[in-house]
Amino acid sequence: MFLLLKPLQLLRPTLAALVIAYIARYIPYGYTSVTPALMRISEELDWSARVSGASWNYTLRRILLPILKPSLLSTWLLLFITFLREYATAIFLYVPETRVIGVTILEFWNQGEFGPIAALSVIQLLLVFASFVILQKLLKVRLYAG
Amino acid sequence: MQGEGVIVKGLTKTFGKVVAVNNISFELERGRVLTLLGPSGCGKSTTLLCIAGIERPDSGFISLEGKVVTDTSRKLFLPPEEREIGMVFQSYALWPHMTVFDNVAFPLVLRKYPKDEIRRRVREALALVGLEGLENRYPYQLSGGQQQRVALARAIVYEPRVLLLDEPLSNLDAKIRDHARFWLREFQRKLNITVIYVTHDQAEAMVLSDKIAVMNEGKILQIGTPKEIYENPASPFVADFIGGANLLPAVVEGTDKGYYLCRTEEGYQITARSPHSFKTGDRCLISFRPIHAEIYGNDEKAPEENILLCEIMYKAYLGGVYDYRLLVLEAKETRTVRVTTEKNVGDKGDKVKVYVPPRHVVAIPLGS
Repeated sequence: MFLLLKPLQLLRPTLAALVIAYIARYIPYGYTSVTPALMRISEELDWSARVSGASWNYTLRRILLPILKPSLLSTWLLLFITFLREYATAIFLYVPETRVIGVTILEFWNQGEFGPIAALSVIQLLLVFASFVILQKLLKVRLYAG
Repeated sequence: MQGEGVIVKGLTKTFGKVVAVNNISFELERGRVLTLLGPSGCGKSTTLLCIAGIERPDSGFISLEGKVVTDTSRKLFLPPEEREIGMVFQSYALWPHMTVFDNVAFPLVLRKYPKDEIRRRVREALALVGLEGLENRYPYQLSGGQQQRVALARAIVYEPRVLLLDEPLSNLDAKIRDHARFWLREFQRKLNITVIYVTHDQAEAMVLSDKIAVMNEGKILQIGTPKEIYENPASPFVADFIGGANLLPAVVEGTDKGYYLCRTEEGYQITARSPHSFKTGDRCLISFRPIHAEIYGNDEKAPEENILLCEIMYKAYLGGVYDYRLLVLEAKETRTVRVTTEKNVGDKGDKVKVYVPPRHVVAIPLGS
């Protein structure tokens, strides 16, 4: 995409390119993870907000999004972990300024430097673990929706 | 309080090739209850959704207390939030992430009422439905009956023009439902609010309504008071749907003091009354309710006229009354009638005489 479309070539050496590529590649995962929750919301929940006097917009913000919150947060967590360890997509797109953890680990591996690999891996682990704990806390509080 | 309540004119809604609602019109005075009654798929819920503005009708005119909310000839269609209606759905549709208080307060919060006014009104609405003290519960912590009342409180808290109820009692236990009918009727009288009620339950309709509109296949077949609908059904469908009438094809052979002398296909002569007019030779259906027929054993002395000779097919004791399924004798094809009575005569296979008093037999025209 970045090679074929001239205006997008400007994006090529930036992090935005990686963001777009990651999202494009993992949209199906996010989609399948949110859909069941979305399907469980009966249209009557939506209708009763509308007849109560809420606009479509207000209904989305006050009814649908809060009900979907647990599902959206857990989907975010799932994708966050996936993105953090991801290198297969980035390997085609990265430039020296946009090396993500996955790619950097791979480079060190090629050079046979195992110390930095271990350090980066620990950082990766801690990030995943921290986000997991934080979200778990958030979700527990919010999980009365069932 | 009198005045203009709900006016619906020429309402039609199709889904692809299926005509869900077919040119429906009715008027309802302010403070009255109209029930749309019919089997599932008859278009009653679609009609309600059109009034609510959730479904957009193909054509038609709807006004609520003088405010025109739909008029397809002027391309006028207000979205649901601009119609000022209250609605209770079959599933109650309480928002699971909000407490009872927040659920009921929602219509007031979005209308930006002051805080203490909201608190006062929510408390009043909850008191009205008998749920004081449950403000901080979540919907899943309530019983079905309580959820239904929260939904009702939410629907009336901002004093809507019309209250639309879509089978609100059908998810309740039979016992609670019996009680809830009367409770709901009292509730409506207290608020003096205009209600359009949708149900397939005849008993509910009878208890709750000032007017009943019997619907089938997208059309209103008859509209009238519960008594009118029950005593003078306009069509075989209405007779059967309300009170499960026995229907026998017959021919009018003459008139006598306002009564019609009819002869059924089986050859029995039955005298019937009718709000419709027939000429001699017209075909009709004679209709009578299971509870209005009297049953006599074969050797018993029975009235001379309006007698059907039958054979008992099934008999069941329902507690207090017997429910008989009777095979009409002399019939070319199998024809059965149902009679419920306290009287215990004979068993399966026995011959009996069924007497139907002329004032309880109605002759109705053939057709839908």
